Amino acid sequence: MTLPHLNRRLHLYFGLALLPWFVMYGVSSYFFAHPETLRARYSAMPPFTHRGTIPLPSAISIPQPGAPPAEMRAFARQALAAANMTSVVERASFGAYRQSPTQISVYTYTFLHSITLKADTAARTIAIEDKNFRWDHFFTGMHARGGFDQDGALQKLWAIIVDLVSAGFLLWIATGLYMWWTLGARKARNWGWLALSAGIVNFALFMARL
Amino acid sequence: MSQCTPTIAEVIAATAHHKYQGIFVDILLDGKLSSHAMFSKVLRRTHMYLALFLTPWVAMYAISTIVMNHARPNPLNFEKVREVTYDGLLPDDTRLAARQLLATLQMEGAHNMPPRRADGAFIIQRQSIGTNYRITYTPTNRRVMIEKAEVTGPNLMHSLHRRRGYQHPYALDDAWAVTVDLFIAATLFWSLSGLWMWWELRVTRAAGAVALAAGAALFAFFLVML
Repeated sequence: MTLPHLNRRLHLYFGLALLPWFVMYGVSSYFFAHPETLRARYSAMPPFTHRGTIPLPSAISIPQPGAPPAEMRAFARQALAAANMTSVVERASFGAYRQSPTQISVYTYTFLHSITLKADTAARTIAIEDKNFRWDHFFTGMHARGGFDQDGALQKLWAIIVDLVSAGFLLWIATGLYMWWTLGARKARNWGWLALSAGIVNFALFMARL
Repeated sequence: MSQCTPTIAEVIAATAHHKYQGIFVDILLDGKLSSHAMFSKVLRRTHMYLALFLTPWVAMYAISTIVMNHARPNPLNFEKVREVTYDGLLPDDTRLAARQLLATLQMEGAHNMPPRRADGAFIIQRQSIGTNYRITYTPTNRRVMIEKAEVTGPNLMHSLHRRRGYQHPYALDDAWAVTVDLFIAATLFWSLSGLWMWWELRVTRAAGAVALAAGAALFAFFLVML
């Protein structure tokens, strides 16, 4: 197998294997760029469905305002245990943030289903709410998922795949440039130079002016 | 009649299989590409030139994704750049006042604003690629304080990756948003044209189908399990 041959096959097979991620990132980017697209469709739908309310165990200490992320995460873990949702942390991204002086929200997120625990720190209760499914949130949530700070091997594997897809993008650039350069046709090379330099100049102008 | 319209036998006789960029296409013997071959060529060229033009965007999104996957943005640390007195009359509408102030300071561009403070002061968070500024206007003494955020690698990558447009009243931001839309359209075009090109290459169909099925299966697995 010659180098040009190997180069073409790498470009093609990486593209085919990573196609679902490529399409997902493309479609989801549209919803980031145009968040208003499905707003009207879901305007009448409440964001959450209330599942129930449980007491916030007295053993759980409430983080002070401005508490570090690790302390908020520890609180989230305890709140999830109180709601019998310990197993969720293996599959779901989760965390906690202070919604108001008397409310801390604990979110859990999976691609298809999200649950929020709203801890009322004054009344010491936890309201459990299921997030109602929305296509735009499904795509943007999938797009934004990543990082190695969540529990569970599968979540770390997903983060590795995010790296792999990014490396795939860089590989497509390298192999694509090689294919263009070895195309042989003078016309294609000249037009290619024009396209490449126009892109670089445009991008540089945006970086300088934005 | 036979002189004007060739018979099927004549068309077959006048058509030969030629290798074109690794694939066999029909090329009529008068040297012109058949409509299928012409479509294939246009598709390949569009795939390539679009990719060459968007190379900086592809590289930026790939590199910033890797950085974002490994590093959270740092909290912004601001340092004072200068403080001036603004003697002009500002409109009551905070948004208009902010735009007027930015124009006077020659700092026009994308910005956000938290609600006004109780003392009437307002803050403009001016988002510029590379550097973010915080501009605080206090109406009681008409002072304008301009602070600059420390630039860090992760923050730069986060701001580049997340930069969108259309929501700001500036043409340059709209132009950037158009390039983001072009990138999105290109992503979908590359996917579809890539599939088409793969299907044209008979020798890669089996191995390509394995790669495609493996990727789809892995994606479906994560979709259900995570």
